[in-house]
Amino acid sequence: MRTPRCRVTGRDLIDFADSTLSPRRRAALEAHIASCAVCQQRLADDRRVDTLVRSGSVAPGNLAAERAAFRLRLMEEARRHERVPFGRYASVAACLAACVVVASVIWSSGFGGVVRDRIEVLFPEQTSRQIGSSPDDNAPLAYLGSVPETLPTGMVFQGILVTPSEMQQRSTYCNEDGWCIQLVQAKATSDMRCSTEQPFERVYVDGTEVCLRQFGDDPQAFNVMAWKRNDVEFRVAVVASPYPHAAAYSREGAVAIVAAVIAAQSSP
Amino acid sequence: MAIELAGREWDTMQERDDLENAGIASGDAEAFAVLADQHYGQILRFLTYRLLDGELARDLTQDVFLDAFRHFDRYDGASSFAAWLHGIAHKRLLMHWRRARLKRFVSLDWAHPADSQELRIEAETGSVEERDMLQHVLVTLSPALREVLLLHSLEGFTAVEIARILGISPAAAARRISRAKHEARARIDDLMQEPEGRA
Repeated sequence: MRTPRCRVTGRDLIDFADSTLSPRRRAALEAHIASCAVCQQRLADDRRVDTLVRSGSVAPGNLAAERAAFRLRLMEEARRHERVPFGRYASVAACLAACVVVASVIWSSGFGGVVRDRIEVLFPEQTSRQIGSSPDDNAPLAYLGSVPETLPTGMVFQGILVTPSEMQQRSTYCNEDGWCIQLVQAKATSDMRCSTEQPFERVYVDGTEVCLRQFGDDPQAFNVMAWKRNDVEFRVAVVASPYPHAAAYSREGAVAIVAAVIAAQSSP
Repeated sequence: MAIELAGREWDTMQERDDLENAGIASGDAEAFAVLADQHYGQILRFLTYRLLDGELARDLTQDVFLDAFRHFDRYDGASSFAAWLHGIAHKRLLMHWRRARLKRFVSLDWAHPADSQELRIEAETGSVEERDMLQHVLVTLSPALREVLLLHSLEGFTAVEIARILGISPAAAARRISRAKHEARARIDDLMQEPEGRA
């Protein structure tokens, strides 16, 4: 395209048309173009292409309708941001937190054993890893006291789930009859006083105030035992039994469990 | 940053400040909708020409403006707002083609041409012959050359702005524009030499 005497490149002509050349360079190029038929032709050709491209237009349809459709989507997006002010990660975190809360409520209720049985059947590996059957997986936190190997009525340690960030650990014990309890040990954050009103009952075990929670309407059955010792809160909950609607201990049974845990804390 | 656009000085930093003062940066959807109205037709036209598929272009245009709304804080005023929008449109196009290529690969349907050739161009100011000529040029140019041709000839961006939109150097952008226009001219000449032409 270029004549031997014309060293102007296509890039130069584009910058010339864009008016992005320095004043000095622009003046020099203008002087050259005035006397160069090749450059004049190339510029004219470029303008012809520009004119052709600008001559047509794709039919955008009903632009007003397109804008209205976008506006609806935009407002929906804005509402979503308002509902979740910290963005999508916050919503994911909130969902996870909700799942944890729901799972913990289910676990601490009488349904825990049923759920656990189902999980073991479906995901045996996950269950054992979650409970932490190996001390390496979930090493108990020493400042929360010791974890008994066995408890009365043939309860044997099954595993432990340690959450250091919450200064808490949950140990699970089961016996061969299908009873399971969970011992929760957590750093005490406040004084714990037991109410003497229903459904609670206050007892003392080895000089320690223990709160028993009545199970349903039966004043002789208890499914949660809670106490505080050495700045650690202990809570024992019955999480599974062979009976679908009865997961509780008698008063004597509950006290025996508590005494065993307290004895384990006192032993060297 | 002050740049020259279409023969006038355009202070992009001022434009950014104006948009921020209008509440766009703080997520005011109403303010953004007003701003989007001003640029909607331009982006829709650009994507329709690039994709040669009106339906797809409409979907992608919405995505471009939603991206702009979500990430307005990334607009630093180094270019005009219109150029920034075209940059988002360019990235959306790349994502679309990446997915389309994968889809073609998975379905072994890659024997079909990359673009649908169902573009219907209306003769806005030119004749029917010019419309057919333009359609032929756009359809036969490679996607990369078609993109710079549209950005330069149709949208009026300078090579410097196109460089920012495409993420390439200004020199490379200017060379690509020059080549696109050269090839467009060649297509036009080819067509002129075929009396029967294309319908």
